[in-house]
Amino acid sequence: MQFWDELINTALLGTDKRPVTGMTLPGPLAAAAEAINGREGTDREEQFLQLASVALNFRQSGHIPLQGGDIHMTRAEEESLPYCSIQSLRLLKDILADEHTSLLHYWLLQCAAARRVVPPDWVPLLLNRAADRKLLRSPVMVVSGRRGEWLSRLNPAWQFSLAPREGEDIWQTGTAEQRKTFLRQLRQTDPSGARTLLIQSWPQENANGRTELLKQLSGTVIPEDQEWLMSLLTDKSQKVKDEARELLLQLPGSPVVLQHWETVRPAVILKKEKALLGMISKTTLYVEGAGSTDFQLLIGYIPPVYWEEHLGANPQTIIGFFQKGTDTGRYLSSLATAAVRFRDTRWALALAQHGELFHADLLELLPVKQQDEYCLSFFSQNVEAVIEHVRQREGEWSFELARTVLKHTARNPYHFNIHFYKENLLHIPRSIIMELAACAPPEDHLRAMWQGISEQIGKWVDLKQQTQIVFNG
Amino acid sequence: MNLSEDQVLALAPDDSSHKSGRDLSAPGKWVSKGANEKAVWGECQGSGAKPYQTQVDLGNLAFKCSCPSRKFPCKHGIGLLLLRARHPKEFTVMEEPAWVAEWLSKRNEKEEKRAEKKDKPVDEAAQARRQQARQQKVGDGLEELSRWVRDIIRNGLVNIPEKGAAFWENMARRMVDAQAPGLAARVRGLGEVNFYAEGWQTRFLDRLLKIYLVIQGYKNLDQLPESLRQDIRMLVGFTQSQEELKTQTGVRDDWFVLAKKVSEEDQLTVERNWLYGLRTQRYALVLQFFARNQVPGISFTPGMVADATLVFYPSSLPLRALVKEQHLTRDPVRPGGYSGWQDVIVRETQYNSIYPFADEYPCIVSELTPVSHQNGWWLRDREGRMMPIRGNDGAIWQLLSISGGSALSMSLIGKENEYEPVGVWYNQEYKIL
Repeated sequence: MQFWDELINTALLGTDKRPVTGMTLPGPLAAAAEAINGREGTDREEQFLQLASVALNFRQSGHIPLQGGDIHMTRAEEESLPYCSIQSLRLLKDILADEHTSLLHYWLLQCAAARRVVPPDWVPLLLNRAADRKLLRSPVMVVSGRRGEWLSRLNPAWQFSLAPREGEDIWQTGTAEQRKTFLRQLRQTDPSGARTLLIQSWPQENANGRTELLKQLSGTVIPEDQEWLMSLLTDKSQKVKDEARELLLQLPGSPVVLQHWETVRPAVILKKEKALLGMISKTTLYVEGAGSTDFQLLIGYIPPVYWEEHLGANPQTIIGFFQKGTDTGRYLSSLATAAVRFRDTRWALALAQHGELFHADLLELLPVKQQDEYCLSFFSQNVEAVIEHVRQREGEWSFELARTVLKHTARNPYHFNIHFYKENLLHIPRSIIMELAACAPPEDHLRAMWQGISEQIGKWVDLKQQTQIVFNG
Repeated sequence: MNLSEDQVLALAPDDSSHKSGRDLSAPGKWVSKGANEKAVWGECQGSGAKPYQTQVDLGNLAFKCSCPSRKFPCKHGIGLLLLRARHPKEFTVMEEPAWVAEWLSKRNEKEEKRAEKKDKPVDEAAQARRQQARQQKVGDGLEELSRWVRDIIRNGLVNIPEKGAAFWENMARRMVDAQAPGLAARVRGLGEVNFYAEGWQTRFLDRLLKIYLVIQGYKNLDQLPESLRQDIRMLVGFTQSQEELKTQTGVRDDWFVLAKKVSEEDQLTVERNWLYGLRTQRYALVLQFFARNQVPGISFTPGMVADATLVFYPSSLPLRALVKEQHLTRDPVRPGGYSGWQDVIVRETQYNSIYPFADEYPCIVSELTPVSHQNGWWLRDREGRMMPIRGNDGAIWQLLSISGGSALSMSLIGKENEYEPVGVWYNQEYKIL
């Protein structure tokens, strides 16, 4: 449309600077231009406006669509799974309107478990939500089905949904974060394989990279790692040496641990003593020549099982020794640290059941039922730690735990506002709904706030239950 | 008439009503409910002792509720219709109770009275003087506008993007003073061009030239055919009496609501409803204007089919219409449409030869496939012809997802080289984009 471009150029510069005549016009327009320019008494502005008006209609009436030729679109494959029901989509609509991420996650998981997919008009909405929230990405891709796979290939913002790269590929070419994640995951399934990969790439890693990758082995150290980790104790980088040492301190029987044990063992002794004017004898634990913070730290490096052989007793009895010994109660938290370090579930259970202290880290080693009991026993003295732990857990809280938590949070609405309940909805059991009124605080103004919150909780729990029903019958 | 959930939720005046309406769609919230072909009704327990009585006239989609809310429709109306859409079996078909029958009866009486109302006798001489005065005012105003337009052309468009809002607003107000509100809106439209977008020069010049054409048309009104004269007067801002229009016979048809676009103009909400007559195959545009927090006279929901009589404003290309009478709403059916872009552009050429002022037209085109080309999205017809898509990202992704790369029938709004898909038929259902 050269004629239109010429008109635009004239319009941009203005008729003061650029003449209207002399344009290259197609036949019909040229005839109109001749007639317009030939009229007497018509100034340049008028000539331009008349010509441009005619040209406008000429242009807008003459548009020819592009001939597409070979331009085509790939087609999405047919879905292999059935669509989810209208009732489930209604629920989804309500959940999305409430902006409830954890409920949405729950809905997606239920839909995926029921092997259903969403109809096509829902896919972009869910992909957008997943782009904003990592938690939702995997289940969204599942419930979006083949349409979601096809659509996400067309939009870079949804590229997170592409099939994951092969492990080797990630290890060789991934970002630092991707490689760390990969190594950590591989350690769960093939710890020796993960170590081998790390050793192979070691020469190419810089000091920071080496340190960060070593950190990914924490919590999964195995005896086969010992030789290599020992070799790292002479690494040029202090950070690498420190990290290797930390890992060896997680390995019972490693030279580093044994070294600490040789320091600690002689200082911890049991003595049989007479009491009650010699009428009874009792066994008392002493920790001799110690008492410093360093010694407390050292006990935290000793595998708890060593005490059983050294003191000739079971965990419960040993805990009792430390509780009743002379100034030895302070070492109980170190025992707990050691139980966590060496992932010793027997000792974790014993400390939870018989210890008189709350050590939040023990919780992850306990079965769910014992976690609840431990939390309930120490709730009032360790509210923040308990609530922090139960928020991280998967699955619903027990009725008793839920009641205890909600009774506390109801009294602190400024700290535990509506978002707290939103985030923790999936932990709240349906059985607690009838108790919500009983959880109300005594103060009137707090009671009114709790009423509003508990209504909302009831509504969300109801949505959760309906989600279960629509997908599971 | 059965509205879908989407159609019901589209009636909500704001997000809060949306949410509250959903909360009230639970069967447990309604103490009693019922329906028949004329109406739906229910009693909803609120915080007071007496439940709120809510009713919906299904013929005209009108609402009434005893709650104190000023929103229209209120959350109870939304909730009741949503409940009916989700759980139709909850509603026993029965004779309406007295409180519903009374309301329906009053509504019928009002309609009959309107139809019987006689025109007040008009002082024709005074009217003629007023018209003369207005024509003079408009003429003077258009002279000033003409000089303003010519100044812009003389000085060039290159500095137009730097003009402040006052440059446009001052002339727009001058047009309002000259009783030419149609041109005032078009002058404001010049200032609303996105000067940062590619092609702003064409968009601006197009709008300016249309203003020029209206001015020239008005100056030479006597030489124009009657229908084009009406167009020019309408474009300047002369109004047509709706009562007078409704004396026409009108066109009765089943009108499929293709799209609804809502915008704010001069503190009024303007609703553009694009309709398609299933038997007459005519397109129509019904405009409704209402103040905030009020409800339009008639509720149109895209996808619904209204058995109604429309009267068209006189025009060389009649498109704008009024609803003279609404009879019933019907279940949706899928209309036919153009077979491809060639038919659309032929139609457009024909339209432009009669009426060059339009900014957009509606159309239904069958078997269009969205395709990617030159970093944009286009619609390809079965003959391989392609037209670019205009529209927001959300609608385009929605369209792509529904299509899955397959061809679909669509309703679109646009002209020349840009069309916006507004609805698509998929699996016997009309999906609003």
